[in-house]
Amino acid sequence: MTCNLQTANQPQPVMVVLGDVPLPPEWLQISGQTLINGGVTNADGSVWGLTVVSAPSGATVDVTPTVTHALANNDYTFDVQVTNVTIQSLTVVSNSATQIDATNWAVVKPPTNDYVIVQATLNYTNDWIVTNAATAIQWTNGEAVPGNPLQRMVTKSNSVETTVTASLGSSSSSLNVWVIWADLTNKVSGTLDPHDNAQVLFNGNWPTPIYYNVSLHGGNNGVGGGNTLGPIDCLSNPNLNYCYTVGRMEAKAILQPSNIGSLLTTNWDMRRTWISIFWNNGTNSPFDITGGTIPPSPENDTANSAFKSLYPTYGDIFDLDFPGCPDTFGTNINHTAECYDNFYEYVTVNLGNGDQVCSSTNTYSYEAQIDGDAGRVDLNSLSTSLITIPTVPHYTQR
Amino acid sequence: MKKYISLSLLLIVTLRVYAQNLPYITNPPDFGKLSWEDAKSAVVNEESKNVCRPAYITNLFNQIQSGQLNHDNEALAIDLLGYLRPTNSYIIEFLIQNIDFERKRFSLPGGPSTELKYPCEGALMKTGQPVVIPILNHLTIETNELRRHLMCDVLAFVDKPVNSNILEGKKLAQQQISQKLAAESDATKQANLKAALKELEE
Repeated sequence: MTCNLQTANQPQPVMVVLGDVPLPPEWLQISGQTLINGGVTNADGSVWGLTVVSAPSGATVDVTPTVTHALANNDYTFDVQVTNVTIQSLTVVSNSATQIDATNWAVVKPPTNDYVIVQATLNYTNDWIVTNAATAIQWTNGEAVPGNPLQRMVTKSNSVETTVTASLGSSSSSLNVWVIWADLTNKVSGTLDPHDNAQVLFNGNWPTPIYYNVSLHGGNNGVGGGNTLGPIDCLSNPNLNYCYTVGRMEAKAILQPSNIGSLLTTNWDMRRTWISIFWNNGTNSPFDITGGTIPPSPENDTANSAFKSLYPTYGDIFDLDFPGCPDTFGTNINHTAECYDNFYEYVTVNLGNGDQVCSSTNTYSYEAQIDGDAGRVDLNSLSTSLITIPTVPHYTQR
Repeated sequence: MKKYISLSLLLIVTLRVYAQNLPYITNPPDFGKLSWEDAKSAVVNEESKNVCRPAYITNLFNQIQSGQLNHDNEALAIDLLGYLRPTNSYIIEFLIQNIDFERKRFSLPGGPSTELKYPCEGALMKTGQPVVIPILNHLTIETNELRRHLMCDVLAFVDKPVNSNILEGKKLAQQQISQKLAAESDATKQANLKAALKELEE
């Protein structure tokens, strides 16, 4: 008895039913392999035996059972059925990544290496068939899982997209694993990024008192105009009336893998905390200190959406900041004003289970000292380095 | 703060709730129980969530009207209401009526802020074009200088095309008020509208 196998290297369970005198499957072999009990008994007491054979496409395979325990007449009847074992689907083992859609799974790159485990499902659930057929699965990408040919693992150590494919004969199934990260840079000099379309910007420039798209605190809408980053003051820039001095900063996050922005479009956010203290005329109140007491403690300083550009049209997202002095806003100074701020910026992504941090936490700082009586700015500095936050003012009370 | 509402109008809002897709968030955080810092964070956080806008706006608006919020948190709740751009005419009317409700507590300028001194003014600005006709109607009867000034600010801001000079917005607002004035026969209302035009000239 022969059977023409239809597909390349296709493992096929061969099912044999024993005739007049039912034999145990273990007494039979096909292609030298002893059959196993398929667990299905027919009305006449015969039992289905199973084995898995593989052969190249178009090959003719003899699947005639041979009997290893001879009976008296040496006369047997067999009913042989041949079917394909195929890959039914691929999925990701729970908790190792989050499903985004039918074929895409994503996970944030963890601090220490871990793996996304991809699992193949066959069209048979019989353990013996699955075990024997799984060894014939051809995997593309990922790494072998020791002792489990039904699974493949993808490292989370690199923020790349990996397409994992499992093939078995003519059947195959693929899924994409995205390991997500955002490369964050806090820019304190240079110019605004042309991709940044935050609502607060006016034609890609900082707003001025009359050219603005967002009404800012107290109606002081001018942040100096132009597109440069770094510290500015109202003495040299008449388009600044938001504060006497500000430090114009742009945080830019390049999303990885490079095309993740086309898959996850509204899932991103940029957040920050800060530690800060202000003095006006050498004095302050709890409202001038983050946390309310000296030394100041961290507070949330995440900006609202008007200051962010979070739709990754070009694969990058942005958060703008312009910390300023004095904390009463505007350009009126009560003799003197000074501020000292440290900021901690980071990126989050929501894969459906809340925000997850997906970047390093990058710092920047701003400090300013203004002698309003003298019409002089003594210090106006924006940096990516943290500063030592003072606990006493630079200026004495006047 | 003035509290204006009637049962019949509330029913209209409520009916719309049931027409929405319920898997979205329908309840804002309870601003009556939040500290000021947490309320401030909530404004930012809630803004980015998928909310069922009509239901969420109704529930938030009910909090604002309840009289249970402290002054500072009430201002923050109005900020959040503005981000949601309420188009319901009753809510817009409420914001106009309370346009001179004044914020007492501000964030430090460590980060950029849209916290206006008058949060209802900010909410109307964010809401945009739906507020124009109600404000024009109010300007016919408004005699308070501050309130008139704030309404004119909103008109100019809303009328200003994106990436256009605010002077352009003032010009468009003047045109709208002039049209209203031309159609107005009542002398008192005409005087109020002329005062608004003068406000926009300054």
